[in-house]
Amino acid sequence: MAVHWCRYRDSNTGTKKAKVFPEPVFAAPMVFEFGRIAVEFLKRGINSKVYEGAARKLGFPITTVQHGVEGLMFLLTESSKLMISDVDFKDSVMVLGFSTELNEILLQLYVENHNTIRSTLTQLAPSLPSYHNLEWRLDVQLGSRSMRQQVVPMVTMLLHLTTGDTDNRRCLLQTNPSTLLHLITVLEAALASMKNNHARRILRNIK
Amino acid sequence: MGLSRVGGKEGAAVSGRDASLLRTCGASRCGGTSSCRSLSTRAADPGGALEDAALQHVGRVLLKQCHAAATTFILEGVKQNADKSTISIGSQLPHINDVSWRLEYHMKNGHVHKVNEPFYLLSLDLENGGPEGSAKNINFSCTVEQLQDVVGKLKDAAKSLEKATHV
Repeated sequence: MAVHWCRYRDSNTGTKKAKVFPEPVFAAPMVFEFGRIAVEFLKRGINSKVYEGAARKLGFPITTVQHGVEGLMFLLTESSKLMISDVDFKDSVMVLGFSTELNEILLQLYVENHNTIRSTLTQLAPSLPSYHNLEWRLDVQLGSRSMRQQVVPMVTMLLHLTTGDTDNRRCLLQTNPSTLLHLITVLEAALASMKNNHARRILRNIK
Repeated sequence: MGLSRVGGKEGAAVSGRDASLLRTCGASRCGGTSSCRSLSTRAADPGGALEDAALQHVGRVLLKQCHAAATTFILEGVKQNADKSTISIGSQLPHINDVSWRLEYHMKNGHVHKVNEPFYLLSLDLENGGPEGSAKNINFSCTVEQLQDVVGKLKDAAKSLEKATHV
């Protein structure tokens, strides 16, 4: 059983990682099937019964099948994470010494799936409580138990926040009209700070 | 403005107008301590308790009224065995005082490289944090589009306020 070191080329940082790739002789349709299984696992999670079925059908030991699929999964996740171009991907895969047909299949797999894999990976990243929605309401307090004959305008707001996909928080808040106008001024200044030259230069140059 | 309630009873109240007047004079601490002192000493001379130098510029009648009100408030509080949580003043919803913001640029994280997206971190300063009590501010992040959405909604609220004043 041949073992190959696979290096991934990232055009910005040069040669990077390496992964052991166990390689029995693969036929094209089998690689396609393995690729499909790898993408399924990346989307839905690992199902070890599939390993058993494939191992029985192909006549290989189950560990070989497992390493093959995991190697494919690693190849796809690392390439999607680094967002490498098609050329870089082809060069990286060529090092493995597979046939050109196999390389084409792998490239096809990468191109079709890298966006979905990237969005799945984004969910893994740590997330802060983030804004979801803001509802507001204008109230006027006309009186209370302790004092009658009032006219006090109040803005009541319901702020919806989410953390990741799980935690949803709803915050009930109040302000008075002068604070509301102050908030608007401050937040407009915040938006304007994106448009000045400093921010534009940085956004343009870090790409 | 408003009256302060102790443990739900309105028996004792410091009138809001007097309280704000005392605050602006900076004499609230003097008035409060002199009330306490006049309660604790048996042979209390109310006139003597108010001889404090800091209270000289406040009118005599007003001073006596404030002293009486503060004394009644303290007495009622002690009678009800009130502590910080039972003394309520006005509405309980957390009140926004101020907002601070930070503009950040998300380059990459451990799972995805080349993210390259700017975002804002907003922090709302609250006055009385509500049921959590100690929550002094609410921190959250939002993208540029979401911040534009927030500003749009706040402007709608301000516009409807303005319309209401013209009616």
